[in-house]
Amino acid sequence: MPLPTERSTAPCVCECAPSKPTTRLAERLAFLRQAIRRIIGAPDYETYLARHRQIHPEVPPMSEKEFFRFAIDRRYAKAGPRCC
Amino acid sequence: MNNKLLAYLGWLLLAVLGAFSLGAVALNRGETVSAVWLVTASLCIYFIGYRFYSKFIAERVLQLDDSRMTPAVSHNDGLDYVPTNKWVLYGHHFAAIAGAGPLVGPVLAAQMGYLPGTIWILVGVIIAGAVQDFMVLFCSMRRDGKSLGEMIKMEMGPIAGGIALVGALAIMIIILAALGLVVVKALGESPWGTFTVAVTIPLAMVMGIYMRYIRPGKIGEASIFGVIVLLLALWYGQHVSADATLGPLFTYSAPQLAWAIIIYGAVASMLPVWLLLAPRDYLSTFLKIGVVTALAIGIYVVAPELKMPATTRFIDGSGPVFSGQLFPFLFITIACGSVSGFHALISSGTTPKLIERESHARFIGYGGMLTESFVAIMALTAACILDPGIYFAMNSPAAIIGTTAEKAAEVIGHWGWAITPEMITQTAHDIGEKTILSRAGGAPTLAVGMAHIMAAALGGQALQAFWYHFAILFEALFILTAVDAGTRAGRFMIQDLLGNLYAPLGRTNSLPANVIATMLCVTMWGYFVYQGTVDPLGGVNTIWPLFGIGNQMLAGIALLLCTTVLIKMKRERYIWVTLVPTAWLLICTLTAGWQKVFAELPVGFFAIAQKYSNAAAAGTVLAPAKSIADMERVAFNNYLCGTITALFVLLVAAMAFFAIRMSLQAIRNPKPTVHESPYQIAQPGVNYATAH
Repeated sequence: MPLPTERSTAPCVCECAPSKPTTRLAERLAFLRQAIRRIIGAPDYETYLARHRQIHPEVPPMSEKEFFRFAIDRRYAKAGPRCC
Repeated sequence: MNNKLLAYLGWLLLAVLGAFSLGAVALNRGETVSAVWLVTASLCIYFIGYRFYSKFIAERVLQLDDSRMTPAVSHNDGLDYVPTNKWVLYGHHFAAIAGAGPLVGPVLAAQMGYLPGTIWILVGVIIAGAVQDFMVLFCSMRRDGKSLGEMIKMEMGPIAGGIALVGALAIMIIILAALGLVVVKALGESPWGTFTVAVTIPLAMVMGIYMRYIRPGKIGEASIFGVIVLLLALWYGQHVSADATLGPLFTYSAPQLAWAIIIYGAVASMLPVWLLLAPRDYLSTFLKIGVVTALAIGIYVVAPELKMPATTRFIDGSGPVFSGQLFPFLFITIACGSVSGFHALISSGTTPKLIERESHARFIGYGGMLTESFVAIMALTAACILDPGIYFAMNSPAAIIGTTAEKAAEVIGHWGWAITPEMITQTAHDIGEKTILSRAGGAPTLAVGMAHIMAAALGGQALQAFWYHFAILFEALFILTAVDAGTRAGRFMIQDLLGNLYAPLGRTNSLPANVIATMLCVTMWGYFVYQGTVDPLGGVNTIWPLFGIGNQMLAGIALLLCTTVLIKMKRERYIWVTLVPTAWLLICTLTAGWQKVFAELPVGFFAIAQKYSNAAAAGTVLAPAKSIADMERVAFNNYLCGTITALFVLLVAAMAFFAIRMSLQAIRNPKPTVHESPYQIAQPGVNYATAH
């Protein structure tokens, strides 16, 4: 599942310039951003978008705003207990 | 071959360094030891334990199989199930398991000296805590990320599942009460602390609105804004404290703060999550990881001396911080950091749905818990670098050391730690507080210790008050997040249970059912928080053993599940891996439970209740109670705590029964009877992690 190729076809939702080929620095920054989001348990739109295009290409994906609302409600709706 | 030899030589050197550091810590008598030795010894033990024991468990006992698809890959939906980079998931898992627990327990246990706590934290985590986290994570990963309760139901039967659910709810209530009390005790009569913590509520709301309406999903921008405002509030807090009008506005007594946190818990847990819970959760996670890292660096830079002796006379059970002898009470006082049943709930929560490959479970489960244990070691260190006189002044109840610096210095002097009233008032002055006496609960002690370290590393004496309040804020922030999230989780559990009795009460989208369950949950933990502030004998020292017993009991249940699963997988020959920690935990919790129920004064709950109710009936008032009403309150609360302890003990006994019955059945069956998800082959060599 080569996700990087998926990214080039996806409309650019991050601040990186879409016309330029992604530099290694930009890639690293994107990784860092994603990593931080994952660590703090925040929703990650790019991951969702990439995956959504793979498994349901016929269904239009949620917008970033919709996704953010959906994911936050979902994460805490059945909120697992927090540790001591 | 040469490389292999070299690698073993490296491990040997590490072992020697560890042994040497441990020797420096354990054998040194009479003179003080640098905390660096303690921390180094711990790190060496973690590395060796990880390299050898967790490898053994991963390869031989569990036989992790990278050719098997994990649920993150087979169910990948880009949202709940996402194959995640191993290091990133380790960070996520650590942030989820680390809370106030490893910070409070070791501080309380420091009354017995640094050595007993250190040994239990290190041995406990290697053979029990990390094993539990790792194995539960493994079990859940093999079952599509099912929760602990569901797995118990699957593998041990529906009755065992029901009992586990009640047990988990009871522990949740007790933990919320204990954590709430920690915050209340830390903020009582402290306008600086109260102000900064109060600021976090509107701050989180502004962040929430920003991330939802103004710049949707821009978590980074909101978090940077949040951290800056937090630091400004922290700095401004000293002016609030000194201000003639603002100061009194943020000065509250402990019972008032207890009401505040009860109302907060009820309201916050019913607000939409994006408004308060999620933004503060992000903020507190950043702060948590930052502070833990800074503390580790700080200890190495400052290299403070451990002023607490290796062991104190209080190992005999006569200590002022918590009563009871080293065995079994040390082993329930330090729960998180050694072994924590709560982690079983998290290891069977979001983490198993994010693992990319089976072999990663070792690093995330076992390694994550070792890191939490390291936090506990640092908390213990921070408490032990304080002058023991200061430590006891902060942690002994007013019933024992009185309410003035003079009286406290006198009592503590009798215990053998020379301290002057001036030292006590000077410490309070240094950290920008009016008093440090009887600030039980661990947080303030840890904050003073951290302030010592951080001030020595950065900024000097002048910044000590700032760092103290920073540490208090850091703890309060994630405790309030835990109160909020925990009340929600408790509400769902209550609705789950009530739904069985009357279906409409179980509907999670019904507002009345929602309110009823929330109120029930808040009332239960709120009762203990409030009583902890008005009961003359109550407080963290009463509720913490209850929490410890409950938490270790849950760990016992989780390990019983793991044992049953091992037998059902037909791996009986490795059963000692879980059976040894299970047995130890059951011995500790059952002995502690037994003593809390049946022992004489001052350990037994019923003995205390009896004493006070008899005296009340005779019309005499026993100190520290001031009235007959106080006496009756003490008696009632001790009866209540005793009853809960007895319930915990019965719960463990019942679970042990189910585990043994199920295991015997499985042993007789020549085939594996485990309920795992079907094997699906993973494509070799594919990097599934989407974080690229």
